[in-house]
Amino acid sequence: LSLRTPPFYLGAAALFWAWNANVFALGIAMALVLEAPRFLQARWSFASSDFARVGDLCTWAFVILGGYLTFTRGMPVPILEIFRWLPLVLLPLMTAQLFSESGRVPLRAMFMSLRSARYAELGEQGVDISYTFVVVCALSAGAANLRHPAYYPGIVLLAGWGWWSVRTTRYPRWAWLLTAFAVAVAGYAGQFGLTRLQQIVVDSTQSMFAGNSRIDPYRSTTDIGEIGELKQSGRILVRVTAPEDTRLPILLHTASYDTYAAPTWLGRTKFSLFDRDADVAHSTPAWLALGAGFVSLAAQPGGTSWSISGNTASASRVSISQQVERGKAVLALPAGTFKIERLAAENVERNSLGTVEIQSREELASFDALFDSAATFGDTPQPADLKLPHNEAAVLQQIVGRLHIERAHAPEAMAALRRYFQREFRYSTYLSGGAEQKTALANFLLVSHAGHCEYFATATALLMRAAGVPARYATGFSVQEWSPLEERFIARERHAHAWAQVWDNGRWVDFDTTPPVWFTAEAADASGLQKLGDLWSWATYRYSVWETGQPAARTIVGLGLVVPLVAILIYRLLLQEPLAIRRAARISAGEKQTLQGADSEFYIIEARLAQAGCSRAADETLAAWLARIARERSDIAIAPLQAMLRLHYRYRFDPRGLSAEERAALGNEARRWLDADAAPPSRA
Amino acid sequence: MTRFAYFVLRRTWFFNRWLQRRFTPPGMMVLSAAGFAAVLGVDTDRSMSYQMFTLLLAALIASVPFAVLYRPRFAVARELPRLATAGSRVSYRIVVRNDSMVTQRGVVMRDNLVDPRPTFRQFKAAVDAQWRFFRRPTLFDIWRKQLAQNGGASFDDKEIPALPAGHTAELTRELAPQRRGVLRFDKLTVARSDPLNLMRGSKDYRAPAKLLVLPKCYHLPPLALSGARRFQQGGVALASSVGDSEEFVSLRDYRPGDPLQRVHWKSFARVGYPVIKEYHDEFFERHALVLDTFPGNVSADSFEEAVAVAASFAATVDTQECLLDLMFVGQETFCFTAGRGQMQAQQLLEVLAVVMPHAGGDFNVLANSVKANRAALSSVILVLLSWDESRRKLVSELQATGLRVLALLVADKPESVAERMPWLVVLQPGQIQQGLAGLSG
Repeated sequence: LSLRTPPFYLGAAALFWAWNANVFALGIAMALVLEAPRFLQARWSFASSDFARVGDLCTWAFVILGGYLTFTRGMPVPILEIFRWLPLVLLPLMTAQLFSESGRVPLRAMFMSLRSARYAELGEQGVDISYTFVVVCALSAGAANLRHPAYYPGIVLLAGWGWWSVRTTRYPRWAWLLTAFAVAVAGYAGQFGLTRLQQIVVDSTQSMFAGNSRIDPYRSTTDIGEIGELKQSGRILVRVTAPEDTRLPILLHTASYDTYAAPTWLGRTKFSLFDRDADVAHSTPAWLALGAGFVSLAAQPGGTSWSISGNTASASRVSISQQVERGKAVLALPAGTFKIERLAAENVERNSLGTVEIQSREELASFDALFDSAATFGDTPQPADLKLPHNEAAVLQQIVGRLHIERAHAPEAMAALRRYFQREFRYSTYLSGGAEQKTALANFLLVSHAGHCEYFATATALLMRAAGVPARYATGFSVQEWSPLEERFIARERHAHAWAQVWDNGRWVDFDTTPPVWFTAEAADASGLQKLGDLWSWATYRYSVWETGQPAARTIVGLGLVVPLVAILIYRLLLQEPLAIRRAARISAGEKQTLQGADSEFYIIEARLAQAGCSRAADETLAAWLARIARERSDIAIAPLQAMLRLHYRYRFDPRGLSAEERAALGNEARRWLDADAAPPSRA
Repeated sequence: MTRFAYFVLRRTWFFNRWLQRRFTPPGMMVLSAAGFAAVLGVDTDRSMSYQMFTLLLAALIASVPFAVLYRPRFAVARELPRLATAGSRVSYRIVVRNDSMVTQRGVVMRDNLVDPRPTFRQFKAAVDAQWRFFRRPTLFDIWRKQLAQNGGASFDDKEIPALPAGHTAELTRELAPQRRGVLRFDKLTVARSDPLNLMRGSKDYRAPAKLLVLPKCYHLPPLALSGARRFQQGGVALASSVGDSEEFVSLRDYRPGDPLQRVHWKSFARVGYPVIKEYHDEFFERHALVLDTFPGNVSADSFEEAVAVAASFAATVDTQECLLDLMFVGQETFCFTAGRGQMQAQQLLEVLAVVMPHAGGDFNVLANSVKANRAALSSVILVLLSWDESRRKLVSELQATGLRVLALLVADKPESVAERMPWLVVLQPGQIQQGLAGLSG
């Protein structure tokens, strides 16, 4: 591909990237470097090996950047993060191309795999990487994800500029403009379709995309009604240090929800790409937290403690560590947490359902939770806590009637339901299709009698409501795995759990009806590579802990990675093999080349004879010169010189050169002649 | 395994060529950029690249109708020279006539060689011979090599200048064939792109043609071959009349075995017993150029270099005054003679252009054939691929009869040859010219 970019295109692309990546000053510097060749005449004649070194520099920079980001940020953010900095990584190669005489980067310099002799036929074949650089700038600008509204117009301008410069003569300008305009409009419309499509895909595949472990305090999309095997990863999300006498499992509560939005199965096929309001009535059943606004909590003196509710007499303490994603985290707290201590956060908010969300700049939220399991968690019941979804109400009433718990007291209803679920239901992560009932929940309650924790929690909460007891749906983690490596409890992604909260005797109590076998059933699905993953997770956790307490952590790690790189580069560029870059403009000015046989002693003889007044004319060969001397100067013995000349010629021009003895003979003969004829008398 | 690899390589090659034919270079860039943008923008919350993806996708979709709906009306023809030489450029012409009713602008012409993909049988044979688990060459290397051997070169597109209706244009194309042999040309393709210049619509015109590519030649220093003239038994048929041709010398008595045509009937009638006409025997300088076609385990590159060395001699030896026999073994033993009204040096090169290695053959077949002709030869130039007992024996036997022998051994590892004889020149592929420069006499 060899397409020259139009003037200022590269600089504009660099500025566009820098603006989107929020490094505008750097962008200006880059643009100046990239556009400088338009104003400077000087070019360098890089050899293929020089390009290869620049290519290696880029590769190493890429690898080290990738390593650094993976280690400090954790997967999978780095792919986007690396892309964010890619123009910077590519800059050396791009600059080398722009300042090179050939204006192309040899293919073999860019890819180490092509440098073997097997690809020798590629030779010096080169490519112009300017447009590639522009594409990289555009991609990186998108990966930086600062969500400038002008990103799309910028991309349109950049693409249009490029397309304009490579358009053919076949079409009139208006046809080009019309097409480009139509494409820009279609691309703009396409964005919305794509966003909507993503929503549907993510909703229906759940947790397939990494990073979905982030908890949404307003909405908990469930897998109820999903057909097939439910799979969750073994990624460690929460670490808990608890006193030894703690009873297992520790239920760590993250969020509660009060409204169940359950569509019918038939409704699931009604996807609408463009209907954004269709969210609530969307296919997958979801628990929502409607009308539960967050209120900021005031930090206590010191700025690291927050009081969630009034102090109680007895208190237990656990230390919890969890990831902060995109600056936010919903805290996983034990029931009855009234105070959070030793937490570094900008802001802590709590909603009326007992969900606590923080904003933090750290990657890790580590804190101590003080709790009293007898204390309440969340505000008094609201009308929504008794509401039944209209399409589930009939089934729920039917079961409540069968269990005779209509208008029962909470403890009785709980006991009856516990028995009901223990006797008639089993735990399963697999759900076969074939809905005989209208909704997935009805199918669970009346037909399959098997499901995972979301079924049990939803059914329990709704049945309690049907019995007249306020109930909510709670999500969180069931912590019961002890990690010998970390010497603390850990909760993995697959330990995420759901249960019901029931209003009993003036407080919310946790009510978990999921058969306890679920924990072992989930563990059976663990991947064989889990140990390795755990080790990596532990290493990055230790790093995060260290980084949190170390303001200059990133600088230290950065230097630790960059300094060796620079050392390698200096070694490779300067010490191992001096860089053979010549300025093209200066080549003619006395360029020195090492020629074969340049150290021949015959040149000393020539100089000596020149001193003696027998200088050689510029157009004279050595042989002709000797012949002339023989004619003109009888006082100089020419015969030995002619023998030496034959050796000298062979030394200079014969591809096979001289043997060691012949070389020595030339040297000895020359020295003998020089000694004997030390000062040939000048004719003058 | 081999079949699967073959299937994948074949399909990939086809897909790759389809991409190259369908998309312009900017189009390829847009396609790959769209791919990357799709991957990066898969989560629309985490990256904005999806906006770039939709724009590029829209552009590609807008190009599709232009690519699909194209019915050009041209008449095209290719005018090839008869011969080309490997490694040097040759130019030829393509003539295009616009048969449509409007002026055609921005149309490109592409020339195509026939599909260079090897057949499964060829591929399997090469794989069986060369491939080992986890060793070089990889299956892909073998594939690449076979593509190159089958003339897997590709041509750049060339834009046809704006062509008014009914007008004709001539395009000059250049090509530098890298290998000797027959270069087979296939269709000529006329293509034009969409307004954004991303995709192409094209039409193929049948134009099969062949070009014989002679082997490349190295420059040889002036050679002084043996000047000894040798008796040419029975003369040289069709030899030019210049030089030592049939000339009456005398009459003599009949000896048993003399052909009847040589009986001088008038004298027979006069003296009463058979008398035979005696002619001056023919003497020529005659050199044999023997090409070793038994590669054994020598690389194909070495064989190509050996052919090039042989071609250099065939092109350089002056056949005005002497005969040059080119001998090698293919399906049978061949001997082509150039000089003195026989073949021209160029014809020898044409023969060398299509010489194939004779795997699994026995060198002694060639050796015996050379020995059988040694009486007529002044000197022998052997171009060898290896240096083993049978080759050593041939050289010593030829030398024993007083023939001058020059043995040129093309060897990947010259250091493996222990002998250092003035008549044995070891040439290393890649440094052949330097090696030949050292030849003298």
